[in-house]
Amino acid sequence: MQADISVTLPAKSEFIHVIRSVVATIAARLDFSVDDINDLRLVVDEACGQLLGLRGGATVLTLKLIPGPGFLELMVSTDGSYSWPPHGQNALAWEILSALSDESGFEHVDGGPTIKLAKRVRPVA
Amino acid sequence: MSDAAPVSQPPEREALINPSNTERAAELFARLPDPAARDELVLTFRPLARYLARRFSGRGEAVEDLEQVASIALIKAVDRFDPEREVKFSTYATVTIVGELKRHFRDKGWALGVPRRVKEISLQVERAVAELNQALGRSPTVKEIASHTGTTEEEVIEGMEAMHAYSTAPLDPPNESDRDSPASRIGAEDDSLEILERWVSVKTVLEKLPSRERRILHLRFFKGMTQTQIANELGISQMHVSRLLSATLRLLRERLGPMESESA
Repeated sequence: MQADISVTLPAKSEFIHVIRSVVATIAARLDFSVDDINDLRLVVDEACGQLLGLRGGATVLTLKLIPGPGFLELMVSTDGSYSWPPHGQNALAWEILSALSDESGFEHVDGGPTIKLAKRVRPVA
Repeated sequence: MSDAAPVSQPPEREALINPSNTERAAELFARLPDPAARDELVLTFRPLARYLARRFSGRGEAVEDLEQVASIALIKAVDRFDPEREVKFSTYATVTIVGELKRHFRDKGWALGVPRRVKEISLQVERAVAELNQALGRSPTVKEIASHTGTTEEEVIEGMEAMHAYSTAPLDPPNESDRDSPASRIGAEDDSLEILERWVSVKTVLEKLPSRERRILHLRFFKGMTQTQIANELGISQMHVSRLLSATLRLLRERLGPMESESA
């Protein structure tokens, strides 16, 4: 199960739950704990919520997952035209994203705003 | 969920309220907003709240969660009750509490027709998570839950989804009068000062959150505690922590608006 996964959906908040389910299912297979899966849910909610909140005429919301041994990389993007950086008040979104994942970043991939995140499976003690 | 009121004035309900309590209640209401009087009112009518919560059990929700909903509704009822009106407090409280319990089910999405099987699995999962947390001393994996409950991993995930069904509904923001209600004073070691300082941009939203939700944010984001650790600290289930966290973050996001709001 090392192949990348990608899911493309309409850029509407009612589709976020599909992304959450996909992420939870893949994370479960990688043996993430329930705590971590719940964190991933929150991360996905936050990332999608932020991207969909940007006014940039986005029509599609894309999730890309790169599962690896002991980690999961996630990329959530839209095709909206939007330039960042986050400043002022929404540093909060980053505090949330970075606290809940091991790596977090923002970039423009193929012109669309993309939030990149990664979470490692915590070794079973 | 059918709307047939499960609490149509059962005879036992009145028995919960000692007639002398009714008189005492009148005295206490006259003393409001004295916090001691308010606390005593809440304590006096807590059996009623507990009783009503139990009437809603067996519908796919943990009893302790229901009792919490009922307790908070009771506090609201105490704060909103107008003793001048010609209605007994116990009646007013019952209506308020039942209303909140029903709303709780609606918000959770159970009413949207979550199949019974999924509800059952989701309860099983919730129990299994608690048991395994205890047994393993860490958060279990889905595989472990599946073998513990004798279900498939897919069913476990389905159950977890169902438990979160309501996290898409906005968190009920407390109204102004809740701010210094007994509920907000529970758990006196309030960490909110630190969180208010660091998350300045959402200060006004944070201030309106019930203190338990604020505390969960603090423990997760500033203390770096896991959901399981927070659950142990607060004495509630891990799934409940998870639900409260997602609802709270969603509320913050809604209140704060999108990232660009400042530049727009």
